[in-house]
Parts: sequence; structure tokens; C-alpha cells
Amino acid sequence: MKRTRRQYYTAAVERLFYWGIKRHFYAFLLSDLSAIAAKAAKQKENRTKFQLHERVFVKITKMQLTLEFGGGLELLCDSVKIHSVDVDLPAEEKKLTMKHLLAWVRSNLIKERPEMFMKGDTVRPGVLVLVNDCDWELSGQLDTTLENKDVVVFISTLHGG
Amino acid sequence: MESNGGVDESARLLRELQSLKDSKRDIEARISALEAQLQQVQSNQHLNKKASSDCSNGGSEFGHGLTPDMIYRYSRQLLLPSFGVQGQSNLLKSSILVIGAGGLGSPALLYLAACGVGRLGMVDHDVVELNNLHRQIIHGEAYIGRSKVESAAAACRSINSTIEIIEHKEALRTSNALAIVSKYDIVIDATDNAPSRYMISDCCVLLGKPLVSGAALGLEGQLAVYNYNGGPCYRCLFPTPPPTTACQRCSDSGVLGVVPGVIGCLQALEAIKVASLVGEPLSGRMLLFDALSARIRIVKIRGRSSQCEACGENPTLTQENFQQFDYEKFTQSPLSPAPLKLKLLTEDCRISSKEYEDVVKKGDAHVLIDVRPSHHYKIVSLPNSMNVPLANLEDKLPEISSALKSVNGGQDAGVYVVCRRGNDSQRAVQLLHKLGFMSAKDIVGGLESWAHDVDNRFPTY
Repeated sequence: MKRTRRQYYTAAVERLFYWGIKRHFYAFLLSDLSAIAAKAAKQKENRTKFQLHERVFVKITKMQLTLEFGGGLELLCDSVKIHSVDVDLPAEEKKLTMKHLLAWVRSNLIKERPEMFMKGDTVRPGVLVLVNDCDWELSGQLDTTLENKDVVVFISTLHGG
Repeated sequence: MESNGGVDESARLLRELQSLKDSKRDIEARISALEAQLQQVQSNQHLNKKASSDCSNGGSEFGHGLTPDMIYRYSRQLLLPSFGVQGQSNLLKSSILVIGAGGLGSPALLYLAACGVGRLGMVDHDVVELNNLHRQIIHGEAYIGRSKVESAAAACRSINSTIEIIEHKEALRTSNALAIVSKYDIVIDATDNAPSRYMISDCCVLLGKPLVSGAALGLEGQLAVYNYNGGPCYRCLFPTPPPTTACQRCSDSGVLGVVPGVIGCLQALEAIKVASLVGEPLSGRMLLFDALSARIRIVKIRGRSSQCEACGENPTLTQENFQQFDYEKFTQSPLSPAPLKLKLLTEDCRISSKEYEDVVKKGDAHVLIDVRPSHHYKIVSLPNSMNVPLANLEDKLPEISSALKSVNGGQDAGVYVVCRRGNDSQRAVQLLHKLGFMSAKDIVGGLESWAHDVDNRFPTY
């Protein structure tokens, strides 16, 4: 079929028109993507800044610790053996020691018979204290300084057999 | 007529069964005596032979002292490059004492006999009971009522008749401990109480013996090697004994049979390592086993303490004062497993289980409070009793009051309190008196006395 001249022109104009639209569309898309990317980058930057800020903030007032009770001591805290806790640093202090932690455990986790956990300001005889799988005797007992994410185990010695 | 005949028949069968059981027991006793005798004769022969062969070719024909039978029996251990002939011959020359033939001692003894420890001793004064068998796997039903040491020795001999097995059918006390322990190279503490643990540790320090100490209760176990190669002793770790209330027993708190089994096996392993001079024993470290969550944690413990009263720089412990030392007083708990018998109440605040039976038979209006923990109550309980665990007694007073009102309108109704053995029931009655229930009385001896004096078919646990 042979096209008329007019039909030919129309087709050409149409094609040009579509190219134009496509170009504009792509341009629009590209510009938008880059805008989105720029926006996202900025958000990320902000988030990182915020996170950094938050982390510094946590280090100053709170300590995240895992506390474990065994050998029957778990019975003193609702039979729960593993506790993930955030311990507030004592006021005016820059570090958390075992001495503070014991007082904190006594008032926050021990639900009954505190005398089965503590005697005076330390643990009762027959309780082993392990900081990161190491006897606290090796790290200074009550003066042991705790770090964020430390694991502290309290275990009562067993006698059965 | 016919039912009478049935009764006669069953009585006759029972008599016959009893007499057969008696003669079986006699024969078994004679067999084990003869076995022991044979053992003695054989070991003497063995020694003589060894002595003569030592003279003839300076050791054995293979240069390592293992006979062809031994090579075949222990071949799977000899094949281990890290254990080998040297490890096995060290083991055969060593002697190990296992104190306690119970839940920990059972697997430990079986493995030590099987692996070829030269001389294996065992100490226990107890007899086998039905409620031991779920965990004390060295004993069988045939030995119920007989000495644990006899039973364990027979089991070990049936596994390995070529090693020397020595029975100490007595409790370990300060008077005999030094004499018994001094005959062995390594000690395994498989006892079940705090005073024994201190006594055994002190004895090992005095005699310089390594101590493989294990403990298990409920669903947890602990293991450590003490007094080994300059490492700490039990007292370095626990200079002050724990309060009595912190020393729970398997008979009160329960124990899953396989838990002491696991720890007992590990004790045998550590003893084998120490005896054969192979590997790195668990000294200066402690293994903590939590069966429920399937966790094993190995932690670093303190070294030998210079302040230690047993092994420190200025020890107060000597052989003389060891024999005088009162470990029961030191730990405030008894060496023998006799259950506590409290006496908190006066006689008029108590009734016997037989008297309570009369109350029930006469139909006197009363409320029976069972103060055991609820998981005990679920095992077995008296009919028409209400379960108020001692720990919740104060909170549950309204329930008791309403129960009293529902019987006889609360007029002259008695309040009786029962527990397992008659200790907690006294504590509960004291508390009830304080809270205004002046008529409360406890049943002396608890459900155990009910089972013993009133109803023989009532289960005990």
C-alpha cells in the first residue's frame, strides 16, 4: 500500500512527537531518581548522625548487660535464668562496678528470699560470680568494672549426686 | 469356701516365692564371695607371674607390660594416637577411688572398670533402694536392700575381671578417710552433701591427691578438678560453707536421672586423663551443665589461694586436726542423708496420722490443708484435702476461711495441716496460730507416716 505525502508527514510528526515525549519522560524519570537518591543520601547521613548521637548518649547513662542465674538462684527471680537488662549508671558515676550491679540486682530482679543471694554487700557464701566466663576473684570482685554487653553469671554451687 | 481356697493358695505361693528369694540371695552372696576369693587368688598369681617374667626378660615380651589379652581388650584405646600404649599402661598402673556409688558414681565406676584402671576402689555405706534405680544405673532390681558397694563391685567385675576392685562398705569419716584415700592415686568425689565435699577436699590436700569433683541436682551439673598441679582446692573456691537452706538434696528437689549420668561420665573422663597423663584436665576451670537449655559453659576460676586454710601459705589444716574436725558442725548439715525432723510445736497442737484417721472415720467436720508445693500435690494427695503451698499460705487465708464456713458452718470445725514429712506442716501451723486460726493442728510425720501407719498402699516418694 502506498502512503500519501500527507500520511507520510503525519507519521513523521507523530514519531518526532513520541521521541520528544519519551525524552522528556526519561529526563523526568532520571531527574526524579537522582532527586530521590540525593534525598535518601541526605536522610541516611542524618540517621547516622542521629545514631552516633544516640550511641554516645547510651554510653553515658545506661549499660546493656546479660545476667544469668543458675544452680537454683533462678528460683529467687521468678525461675527465669537469663535476663537481658539495661542498668542505669549510678548518679555522678562514669562506670558501673559489680558492687553497684549487685545492689541493682537485689532491688530489681530478686523477688524472694534476698538472703539466699546476698550477705552484707556481697554474694552469700557458695555463690560463684563470673564476668564474661571468668571468676570475679580474678577481676577484682566487687570493684570489677563492667562494660556494655558484658555477661554476668551468678551460680550457686551444687552438692547433690 | 472357694475364696478361702484362693487366699490359702496365694499365701502358699507367697511363702514359696519368699523362700526361693531367700535361697537366691544366699546363693548370690556365696557367688560374690567366691568371685572375690577367685579375684584375690588370680591377682596373686598375676603378681607372681609378673614378678617372674620381670626377672626373665625385664618387663613383657612386647616391652610395654601389656599382655595379649590386654592388647585385644583395650585395642580401641591403643589405636588412639594421643592415648596409645603409653596412656593405657599408665592407666593400668594407676589406682582410683570413687566415693559414693550413687548417681554420679554409677557411670564413673562402670567406665573406669571398663577402661582398665589398675585398682578401683569404691566407698559407700548405703543400700540400694527402688527410687535410686532411675539414675544409679550400676544397680539392678535384684540388689534392692543390699549394699551399694557390693552391687557396684559385682557390676564392675562382670565388665572387667582383670582389674583389682576394692570394696569399702563404710561411710567415709574423718577417722577412716586418711587411711582409705592414701591407698589411691586419684579421688573422685561422687557424694551428695556439703560436709563430705569439704572433708574429701581437705583429705586430698593433706595427702596430695588430685580430686575430680562432680555435682548434679535437678537439671544442672557442675564439674571441676581440684588440687591438681598447683591448682586450687575446693576450699580456695568456697572458703565459707553455704547456708544449710542452700544445700538442696535430690530427695527433696528431684533430679533427672541422666543429668548425674552426664557429670559422672565426665568425672570418669577427667580421672582417666589425670591417670594416663593425657590431655589437659579441667583444673582451674569449672564446667557448668544446664540440661534444660542444652548449654555447657566452661569458666575460668581463681587459682590456689595463698589465704586458703587447707592449701594456702599458712594452712591451719593438719592430719591431726583433720581427724578432730567436725565437718557436720562446720557446714551445719549432716553427713548421712537422714531427713530433718523438726519439733516446733507442743504435743497438743499435733495429732498422729492414726488419730487423723479416726477424725475421718467419725466424720468430724474439718478442713485438711496440704501445704506441699503444687507439683508434689499432683503426685499423690489425701482425699478431700485442699492444696495451699506454704509459700502462699498467708495470701490464701480467705480461701481457708470460706472452706471452714462450708463445713459445719465453721462451728467447731478442726483445721489439720499435712505435708510430706511433718516439718513444713509445723511451720504452717505456727503461721496459722499467728494469723488467728488457733485450732490448727499438724499431722505428725506427714504423708509418710500416713503411708506407714494407716494405709500401706498410699504411695511414698
